[in-house]
Amino acid sequence: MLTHVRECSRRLGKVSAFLLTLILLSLCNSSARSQAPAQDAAAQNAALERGRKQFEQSCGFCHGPDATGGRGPDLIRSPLVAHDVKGDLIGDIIRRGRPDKGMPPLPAMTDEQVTDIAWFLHARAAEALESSSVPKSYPVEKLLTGNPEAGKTYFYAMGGCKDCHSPTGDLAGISAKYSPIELEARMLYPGHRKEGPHTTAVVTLPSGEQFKGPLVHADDFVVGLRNASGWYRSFPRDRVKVELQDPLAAHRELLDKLTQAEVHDLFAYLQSLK
Amino acid sequence: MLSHFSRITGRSRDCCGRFESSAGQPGLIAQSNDGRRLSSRANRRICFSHRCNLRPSFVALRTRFTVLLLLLALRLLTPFAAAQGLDPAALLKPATDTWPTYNGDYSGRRFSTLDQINSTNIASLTLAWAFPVHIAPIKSTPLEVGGILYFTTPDNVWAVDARFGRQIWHYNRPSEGDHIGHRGLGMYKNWLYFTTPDAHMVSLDAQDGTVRWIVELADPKLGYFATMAPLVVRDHVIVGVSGDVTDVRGFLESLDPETGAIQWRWYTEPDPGQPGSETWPKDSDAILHGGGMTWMTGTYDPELNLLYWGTGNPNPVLAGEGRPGDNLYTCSIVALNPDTGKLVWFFQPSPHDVHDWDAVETPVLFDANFNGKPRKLLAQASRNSFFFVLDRTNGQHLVTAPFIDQTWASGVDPRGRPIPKPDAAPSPDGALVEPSSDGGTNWMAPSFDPQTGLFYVNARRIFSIFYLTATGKAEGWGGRDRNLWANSTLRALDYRTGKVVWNHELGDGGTIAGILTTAGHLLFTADNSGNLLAVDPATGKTLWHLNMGGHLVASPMTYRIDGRQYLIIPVQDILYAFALPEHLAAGTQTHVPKRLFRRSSTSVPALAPRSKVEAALR
Repeated sequence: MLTHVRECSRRLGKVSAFLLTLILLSLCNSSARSQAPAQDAAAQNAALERGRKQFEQSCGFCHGPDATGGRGPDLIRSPLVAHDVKGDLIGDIIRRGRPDKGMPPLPAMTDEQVTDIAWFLHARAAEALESSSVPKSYPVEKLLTGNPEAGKTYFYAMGGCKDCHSPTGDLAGISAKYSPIELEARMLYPGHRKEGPHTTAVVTLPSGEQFKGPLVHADDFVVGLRNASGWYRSFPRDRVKVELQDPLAAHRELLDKLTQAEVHDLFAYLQSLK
Repeated sequence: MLSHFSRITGRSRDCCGRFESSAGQPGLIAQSNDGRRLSSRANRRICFSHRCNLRPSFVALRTRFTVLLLLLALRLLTPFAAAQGLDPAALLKPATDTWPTYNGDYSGRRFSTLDQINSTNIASLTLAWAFPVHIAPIKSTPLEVGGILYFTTPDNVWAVDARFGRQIWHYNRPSEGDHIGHRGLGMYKNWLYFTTPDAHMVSLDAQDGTVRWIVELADPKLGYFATMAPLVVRDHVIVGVSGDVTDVRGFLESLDPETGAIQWRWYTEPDPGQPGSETWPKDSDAILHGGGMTWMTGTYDPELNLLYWGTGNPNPVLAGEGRPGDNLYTCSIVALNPDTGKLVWFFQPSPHDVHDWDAVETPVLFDANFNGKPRKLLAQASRNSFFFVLDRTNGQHLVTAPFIDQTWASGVDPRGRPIPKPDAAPSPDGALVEPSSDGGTNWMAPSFDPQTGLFYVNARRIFSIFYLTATGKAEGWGGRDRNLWANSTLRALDYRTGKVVWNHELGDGGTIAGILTTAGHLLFTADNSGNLLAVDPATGKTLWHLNMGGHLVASPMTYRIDGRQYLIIPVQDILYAFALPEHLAAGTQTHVPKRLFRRSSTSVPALAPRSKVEAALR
């Protein structure tokens, strides 16, 4: 899959955030009309649950209780299900069966039951689509495979984490601040999200005059910083000496060295800092 | 046929044959009357448009213009005898002053023999024109044929005057499907071939953008879409498909350029029982849902009559448990016969991939010495961070070497394939791996410069944690990685060893800028800070830069018209044309400047006598 899926999913994220805001705003409104989305969602969930039970009972024996196939085909990958809208295609198949393929007919299936099964199948297909992202609510139990004591040892010895961090200082209660999956990512590289400058630039002019402050921009040609009074200053790089002090350099070096076991041990230790 | 097509697509056609979106009923797309999905072959709906009635005066003008062009063409002895269309026979010769295919020529090396803009005068490079599209980032490489540029974004095609940057026509066809990006067009005679987010192929008249026909390539409801620029090989229009969010079967196919009918289809996964199927589990539907999309445009060797294509990752993407084996021919470089679609040989850069590291990056073709012998070579800088060189006559493996840091492979097996470390596979508790799923490189164009003998790639150091989230039978991705940190670098590789000859840092972030090299001893690309760069391809030293205030998210291209060389670089959603100022362009020699004088002199080379034809055209 190409790089820009991330862009797209971010965009989708924005769209869904926008929709969510709309829904929330409409929920705040006391008019009867505004309660429709919540009612719809509840009704859909109920249909989904009925569909799940109905499917397990009537179809799961061949197609698997989760519809991923068994003696019968995987219905999440089924072109017919992909084209179905609210049961308009699958109803016929369910009621008539596919005698040529050994699928028995279920003629007594009502329209409501077919629609419920359709809800369930489409929800399963949506789950497959959504499997290309890790939910923020990813369960901590899955991440806690390491040894916190070994993590603590790594923190104080080999990792050199203690040179910049302290479990009673900046890391106190760290596991309460972030979701487990967010904490694991931040533990490895905290600079991923744009949270303001972390690099300090020291620019020395040929005259010996020096400017020091948070880095704003640096490329091959320009360096820009905020000076002591908070004003932006930029310099052509070929005429000044530039030193960039980046505390995250230590994290980048660790990325190269960490074993999978060390990652999980260290995470188990940080997760214990409640 | 026409009305039926209009009905099933929910669109109506105006007098110019363009489709306007009406209250669309996408649920009806590609369904037959009984509402059932038909087989893909039976399901093709073909639409032939009526040509517009051109005004008589315009016809007369056009006729006169055509006669003039024919006369000029005869004097120039160019292969474009038929006005401004593209004779497919012309593609068999390397591009000189035009850019008639996605990569400029069949080799995929993205090296132009033009040298008017060169290392001695690059400081004088100036903006010739700009063309904003205001719709989406331009990720396509324009074609340049007969003084017209043709380029795309998803759902959109533009024809733009290559001299002056004025729009000639714009085609828009709103569609469902993934609008991730679009790479460009293929051209055959007067016809353009455009793939769409809903996995259709549109054939347009290059003169006015009217639709000739539209066929469905694959069912968008199953998750297929299309982004690539078709490759025209004689009377074959070779086209691939995209989409790995669902578990569908990848394929490459050849269409009749006149009718859109399928000439052949090659599936990435062999049919059960065929050679290669032993690399998939038996008694499972895995092989028929195994992915392997053909995202990018391949290359072609006319002498060997072999088509080279990179294939995408297997599905489910990160969950490999349900598909034990190498999973041929996913993540592979395949050589196919373009007339039959039969596989001739293959090489697999990432057997049993579980990291989304497709091998669709351009398989670049060049002839060069290897171990003292002249060889026909194929090189790919693959998304898994390894550089591969093969003998393209038979697929014999010659070189495997990482072109950037990686942490996932422990070595290389006797067949030249990297050996994955078991603990680098995605896991429920997360596996720290370099590169991320975005890869050590990606779709952006690499380049091979025959003057330096170096292969160039924009590479990333990019770390990520890969989570396997699937429980039970995996469907779709079954997991995902989270990017941690990335920076990028432009690298020159020695094709004989894969060793890095020079390195030019591009800054933090993952670059998607492509590369162009030219006979003017220049390499064009961009850094991650919005600077366009021209660097010395021998050393990597910057010779020119310009802050464009946005990113190059495509690959640069170049052409020459009326004796003036243009350099096209899209930045975000604006197409920029650079050239030398007219007085300098008029005075430059047409042969390669001596490298010896490159640094010592900044003066413009002496005025060379221009050909009479060029003078007449000016």
